[in-house]
Amino acid sequence: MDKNKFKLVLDLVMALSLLLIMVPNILGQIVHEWVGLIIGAVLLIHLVINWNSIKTLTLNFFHSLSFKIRITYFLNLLIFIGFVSIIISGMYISKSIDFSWLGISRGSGMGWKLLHTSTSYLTFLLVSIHIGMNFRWVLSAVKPIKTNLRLTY
Amino acid sequence: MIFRRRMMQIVCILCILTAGLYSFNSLDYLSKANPTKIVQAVQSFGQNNGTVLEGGHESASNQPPPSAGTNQGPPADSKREKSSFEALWNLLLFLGVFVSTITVTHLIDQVSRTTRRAVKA
Repeated sequence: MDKNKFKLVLDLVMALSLLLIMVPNILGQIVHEWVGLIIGAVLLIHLVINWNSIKTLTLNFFHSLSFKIRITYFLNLLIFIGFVSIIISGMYISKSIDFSWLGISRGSGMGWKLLHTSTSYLTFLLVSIHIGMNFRWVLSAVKPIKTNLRLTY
Repeated sequence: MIFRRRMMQIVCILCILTAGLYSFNSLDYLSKANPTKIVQAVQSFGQNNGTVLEGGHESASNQPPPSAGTNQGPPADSKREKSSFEALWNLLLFLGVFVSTITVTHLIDQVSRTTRRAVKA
């Protein structure tokens, strides 16, 4: 599997899981929590795969970047902060996974639930914008697969 | 070309409708959210079996079970049906917001690219 295809599959899995995780009643509480943690891990892989572009953008942020790229960078930063706060607040309100080994006791914080829900709503919207901004890449990655399928059948 | 334009118009109308529904739902959520209740629930977590749903509303497990022979509360089946309907509705709503936001952002991106190219030319 080439890199582009792997990235596409990873992003697709992440997008679908994010959609399902937004409604905890659909998956059930235990699956909701585990899928959340898995999304966190997949997010890390997503960052590692795109590390080169992140590094280049960060190094050139104050030099020669267009307004659009700056906006995109800021959006990505917000998404990252959003995911971090969702995961941390999720750990505090977790019902089935025990995070006491991290020093996180259940229900010890105030308003973690409110933070978790509101941040997830906002991050969900930002992720949709992020996908929309990179949709040209999605289309270009899907194109060879479509051509292959057309040639096969 | 006309078909494409019609399709775009339909997509745009759907986008506006879902965005409206989403904001209505969010406003509804925010207006019902009771921070004190959430804080109380988070603090008392682990002491009872009660769970908190989004917006600080208590779930069915936190309410006393309806006693036999009385008219207290709707039957469990209808409650389950209602909650699964709500879950499905929320999923559809999120799907709508997801797809429409992606479409609108992509369209804006395309338009700005085309305009930039036209200006350069």
